[in-house]
Amino acid sequence: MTTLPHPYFKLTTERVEPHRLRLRLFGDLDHESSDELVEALERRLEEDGEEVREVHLDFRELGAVDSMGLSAILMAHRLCEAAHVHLHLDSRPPHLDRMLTVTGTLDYLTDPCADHAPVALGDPEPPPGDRAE
Amino acid sequence: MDTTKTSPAGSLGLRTSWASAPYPVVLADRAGTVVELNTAASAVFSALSAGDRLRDRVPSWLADAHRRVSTERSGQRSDREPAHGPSGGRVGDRSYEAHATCGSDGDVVWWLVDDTDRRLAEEALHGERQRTSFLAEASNALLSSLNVNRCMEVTAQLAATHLADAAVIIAPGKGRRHPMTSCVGSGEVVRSIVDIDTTSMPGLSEALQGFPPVPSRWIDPASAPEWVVPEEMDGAVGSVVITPLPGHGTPGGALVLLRTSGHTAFSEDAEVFARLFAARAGAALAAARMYSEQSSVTTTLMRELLPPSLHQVNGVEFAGGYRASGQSDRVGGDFYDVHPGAGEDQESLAVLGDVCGKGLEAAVLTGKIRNTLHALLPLADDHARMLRLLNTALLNSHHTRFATLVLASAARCEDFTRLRVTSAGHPAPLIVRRDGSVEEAATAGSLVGVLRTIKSTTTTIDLAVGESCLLFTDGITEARGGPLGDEMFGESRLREALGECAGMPAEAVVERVQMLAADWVGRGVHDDMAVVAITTPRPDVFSAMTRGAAGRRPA
Repeated sequence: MTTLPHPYFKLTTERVEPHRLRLRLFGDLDHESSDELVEALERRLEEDGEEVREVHLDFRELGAVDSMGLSAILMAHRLCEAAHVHLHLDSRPPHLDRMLTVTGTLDYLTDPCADHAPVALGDPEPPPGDRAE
Repeated sequence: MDTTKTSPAGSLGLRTSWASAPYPVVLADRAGTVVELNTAASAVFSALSAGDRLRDRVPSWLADAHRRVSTERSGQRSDREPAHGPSGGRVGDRSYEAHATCGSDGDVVWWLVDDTDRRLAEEALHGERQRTSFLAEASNALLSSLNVNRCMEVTAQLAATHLADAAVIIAPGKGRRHPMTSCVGSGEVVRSIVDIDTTSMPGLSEALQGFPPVPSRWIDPASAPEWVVPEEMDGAVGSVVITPLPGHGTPGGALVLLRTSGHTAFSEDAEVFARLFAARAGAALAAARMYSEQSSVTTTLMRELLPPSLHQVNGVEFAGGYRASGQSDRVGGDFYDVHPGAGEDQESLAVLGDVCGKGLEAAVLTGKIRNTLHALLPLADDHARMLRLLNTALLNSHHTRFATLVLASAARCEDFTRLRVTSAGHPAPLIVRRDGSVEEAATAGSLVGVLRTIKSTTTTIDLAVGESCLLFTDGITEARGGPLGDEMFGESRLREALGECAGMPAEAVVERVQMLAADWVGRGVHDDMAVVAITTPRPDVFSAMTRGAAGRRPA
């Protein structure tokens, strides 16, 4: 597979298996392209309906990621939660892992056992067990 | 001089052919006396007949031309055409070109060609060119400024110079008060705010509402209210036209053109032209209004978001630096704040953060974070709890905009500063020791604003005299530049730079880091860059620079 950098952002979606949807990202995921990821995922989840159980974001050809790019990945995670679909971040380049680590989102985004309850607003404070100091 | 000559038919052979020529032909002798004229000439010069002196009966341009040709010819005996080209001028409401042919005896035959239509076409073309060039000039002048007042001044000036004797622009206002700009001739532009009833002038309230679109209209000068006539205007008002200035979906105001009674009234052409001008002026004014609104929004936001100037608080030195992204004037996502401790022994809280994205939404989120943290100050002794409360306040089901930040609580102890530092998904602060070694604060945590539960670890650091802790946004480490222009500044270069800052005051540390990052970027584009340095000042500096901490014992 080619590893040439992509000057422009490109996104492909395919149903690799009936229950598995794969989105491959090429190029930079940043303030200019982040909306495309969210919109594409939203559309596919709506169109493909109940059958899809897993969404794989394939980052093998990913370029730079900025904060808006991370925001889009977080939104993808939230959309999957709402649809009761597992989100997998595949073939993550080191710089993406570093970003997820620094921002404290790696576990949240990659742990299949992480709490998948949708965001509930108005929670005054989480249970004390979630604290780590 | 021979004044009794008869026709020179023999020499020029005119008599046979010219009498019925379709063009006016006049034969005059050297002295300017008419010898003969044909039927067509009689029709043009009704009072002219043979024996008359040209000067008494024909327009002066023709009489002058005759004198010139005759004088030139005297002494010469040649049949060739006079050296100069045809003369021309008006006869009544027509215009003619006069060609001369000279006889050997000094007589001159004038052949007149009616060029009225050509001249009219030429005049129309000339006028059209002048208008086009005026409109182009107007567009340039109008678009050269995005200042609303300047735009109105230019509109008034151009209109008063080129379209009318005086021009008045009435802008949409608040209630009955409307900004008014007027100009008389090439005089000074006068700006005022008038308290008026817009219904007092026909067509004005429609023009100011912008809808329904109204054409320009004539106004009976007598019904024009007093306030619309500039004081500087000489003489009575002869004609008034009011034209709306169309904006982009919003009313742009009204242009009132006035002419004195001594001047010709507005022709239909002039009115159409005024409308063309008004369209341009309206577009320019709308653009200027839109810009000024946008820039006032940005200014308001920026005023709120501008980083505070920092200084020494309770024996701890703070310095901050912010370099906005050069790409646009949009509000960036970096911010910092220092909340001084209430008492001498109280901790001060420094916050440095980065909101994802740019522009209005980022600005709103930034404001929300700064306000929330301010309100949570009493809980600053527990950073993790403070961050959890902040996170809950920011959670939003519509978007996943987040912020990363660092909290640093600092209090001066005897000869060192005790810091509690917590990162919420932000690059860990760097600490420069007295020996120049640089270490990373052992803190990590989750970003705020998206996750339902967040984690964070707080670390405690003691800064001896001359040691600093640097809080920074990734705009510094991710600044692209260097020799090839595409390399990141990176954390190792930042550490290296910081290593040279041992013993420096906080302000110098900030300046050094900012300078190195700026040099690295060169002319390239960069993101917002924010840095805050927290330093334990040297005793001498401490006592000399202490502000707002009177009575505190120097270390």
